[in-house]
Amino acid sequence: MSILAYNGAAIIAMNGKDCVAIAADRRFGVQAQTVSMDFDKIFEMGPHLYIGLPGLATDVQTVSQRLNFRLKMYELRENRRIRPKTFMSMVSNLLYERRFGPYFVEPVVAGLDPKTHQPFIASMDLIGCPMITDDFVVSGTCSEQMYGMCESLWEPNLEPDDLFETISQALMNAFDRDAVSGWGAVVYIIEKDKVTKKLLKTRMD
Amino acid sequence: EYIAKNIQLYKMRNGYELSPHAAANFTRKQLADALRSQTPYNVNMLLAGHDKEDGPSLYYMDYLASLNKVPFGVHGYGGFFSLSVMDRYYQKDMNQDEAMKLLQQCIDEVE
Repeated sequence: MSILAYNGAAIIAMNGKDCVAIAADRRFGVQAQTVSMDFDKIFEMGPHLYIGLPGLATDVQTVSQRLNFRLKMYELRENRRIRPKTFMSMVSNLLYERRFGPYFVEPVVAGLDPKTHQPFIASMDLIGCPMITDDFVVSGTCSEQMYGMCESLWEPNLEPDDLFETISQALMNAFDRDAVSGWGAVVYIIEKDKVTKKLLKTRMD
Repeated sequence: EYIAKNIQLYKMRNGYELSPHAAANFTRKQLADALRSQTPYNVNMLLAGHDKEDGPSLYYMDYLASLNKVPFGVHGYGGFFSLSVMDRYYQKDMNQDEAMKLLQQCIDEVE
């Protein structure tokens, strides 16, 4: 089995009208065996900045801890909140430092610019190659299924409530077709003035 | 033994014992650092402790250093059987006797 599929994960981020949404499954498993259903793969890096980390669970935890450290140092030195695009470059740098012994995570960044509130989503491969898009990004073991779902369901300028419906349906139906992801889902909808976290009721198999 | 001694050192240096959460994260970091060095450890573990603030806690850690706080955990092939038994009968507020009975049921299942 591929190392990236050892623990299983599914993450989507989508762009909406002045908002972004990021959603992930909650399974933590060891190949076929599920160990827990409350493993968080989305980490809050700022009031309107979230990163989703699918891939090998140990690297998910290591990368999020290292990234948190770098981010706090940045905020102490610069005395301001980081911009999503800069944060994406920070993640990319962290991953490329390990070019020949990489962390097995393929991150997804979603957030709003602290000043202009412009929505931003991006994804990266395991050695840090960034990709910024205006519609949606997916990452995880069922990425093909997620691409299919997003391509058919997404449309531009969705309001936060519609965006929530769209991202939830895309994620749930995609990971229902994958053995190693699923077992619960969490969705964060990030708007200018608030962030809503919703837990989805899904098929627990 | 390395971990146990380090935890005692912390207690001596700081005047209070490490919480289970802190001990688990400390162990995880040791394991994760060793993983990408020349001498990785190959050990799965279940770490359990009691804390005044959080109460009892159980942490599942695999040999790749992924850490999870779980209500019940198993390592190995026996897990495939025991997990189903525990999913069915585990309650959050079980007392010690009920918990021992459940563990015995799991052992019987594996046998």
